[in-house]
Amino acid sequence: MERGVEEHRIIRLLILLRRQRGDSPRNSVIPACPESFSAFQKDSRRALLAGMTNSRHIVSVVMVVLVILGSAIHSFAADKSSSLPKGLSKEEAIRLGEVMYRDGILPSGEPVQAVVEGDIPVEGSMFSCAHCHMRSGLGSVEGTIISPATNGEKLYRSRKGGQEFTEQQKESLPSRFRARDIRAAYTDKTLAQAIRAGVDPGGKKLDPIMPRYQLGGRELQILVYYLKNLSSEPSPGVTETTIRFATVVGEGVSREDRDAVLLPLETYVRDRNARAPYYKARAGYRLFAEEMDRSYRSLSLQKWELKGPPATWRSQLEAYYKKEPVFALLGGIVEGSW
Amino acid sequence: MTKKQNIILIMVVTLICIFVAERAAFSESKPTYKRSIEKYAVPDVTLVNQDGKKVKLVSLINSGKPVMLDFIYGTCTTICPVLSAGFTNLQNRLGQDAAKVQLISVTIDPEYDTPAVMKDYLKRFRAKPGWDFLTGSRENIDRVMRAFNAYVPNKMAHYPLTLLKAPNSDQWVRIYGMVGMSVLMTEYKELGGK
Repeated sequence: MERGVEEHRIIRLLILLRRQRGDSPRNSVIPACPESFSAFQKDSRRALLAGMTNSRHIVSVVMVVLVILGSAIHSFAADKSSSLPKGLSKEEAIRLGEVMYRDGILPSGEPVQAVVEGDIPVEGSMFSCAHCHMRSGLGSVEGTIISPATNGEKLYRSRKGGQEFTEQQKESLPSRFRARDIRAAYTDKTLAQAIRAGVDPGGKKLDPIMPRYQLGGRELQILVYYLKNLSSEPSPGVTETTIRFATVVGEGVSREDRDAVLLPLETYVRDRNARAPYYKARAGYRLFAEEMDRSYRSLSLQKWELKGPPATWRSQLEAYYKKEPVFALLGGIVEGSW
Repeated sequence: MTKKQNIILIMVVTLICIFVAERAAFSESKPTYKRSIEKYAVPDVTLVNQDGKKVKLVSLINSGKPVMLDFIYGTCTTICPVLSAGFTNLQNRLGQDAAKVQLISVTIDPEYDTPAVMKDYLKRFRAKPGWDFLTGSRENIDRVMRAFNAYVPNKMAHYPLTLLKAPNSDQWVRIYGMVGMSVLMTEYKELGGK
């Protein structure tokens, strides 16, 4: 991922160079991912060579750009080393970051202070990052407000204005139909700027509903470290292809009651799994294709059967979970109360 | 100057012009909210406040104080906390005079927002006396929403709305969109508040 960011900076600089050559900025496309880098590089090299034959002035411009490029790579190398806050283990940093993200409480124990809508002071005890961007960091939509994803995987790569295309699709499209970046990939430094000053890597102001947080350098380091690692792996019970669920059935439940709980769940899972390939295929042509595609993993439903006295149920459930974790429990039935 | 140099010069100047124009277009501040003057027929409904007390909405709105009203719900994640932070801050700015304005938050989620939930919510936002959070039957809540042209069939589809009314007036200022403190204070002062 780190390498991807580095390449991205170079790509941006190359694009800058193309713009200087007179290409309309509107038609410039920042490639979606590092894979496309080599193709783009080839293209830009051609552009550079063409420039050189045109005029000597361009040669000096190229020299200047190369110098800037060199210093950019240098500064990035410095950026990279600052990921884990000094004096903290990985676990400590994640724990402190989690309290900041979920509860709005600083490592000092005080609520974080922020300003929202330009001039309304708020504090972490009123609402936290997780309120809008969710515990997972995958973002949310409420009414007219979109809260984008805040996990490292999404922040540290560029965000597209529309559909992300494969390389092949991209080449077949006229440039005006290719997705443009809403914003470039974040780095540790620009992410800290966004949280503190509400400015994205392109210098664009974030919506004023995003609070500007009054955080010190170390607090920012901890939060950025937390975000980088947030939802970096799927939740327990979720794999690349499947989301596992379980339902609970106690012994002694009549067959009728058992069926009343199990049949609708099983039917839903079966029905949805049957339709999944269709949705998956369709998702490939729509907005948020990537998210849709992933949300159409197939489902599996386990039956966790409980035996013996209720006092032992907890340990039985824990043993089931330990053996094979599930993403969530869906209902269940036992004789008497839970 | 050769012809070639001329062309390069023109190109450079054109590029600079395009760049400047584009910057200007981006930095031009769009109005972030819509303000209008409206008249509403407040329905004669009895609602319940955070202390579990019955409140006649019409009486609360016509208590002789300037009124600010919004629609929120206790489990709201993005819009309501920011609207409520605005109310908190207004009360803080008014200090001793906080109770001179009647703040009313009406829930759009009456099934979940019980007096206990609403009391917790107000505590979270350090509400002072003069800020009431109202719930009621689904039927009555829907009537209130419709009366203020704020009906949403689904709470997740709601939008930021602040309504203000001066005492002894039947005109409401309707603010659609998120606003900061400066707008809120200006609007409040125009109602005749200090």
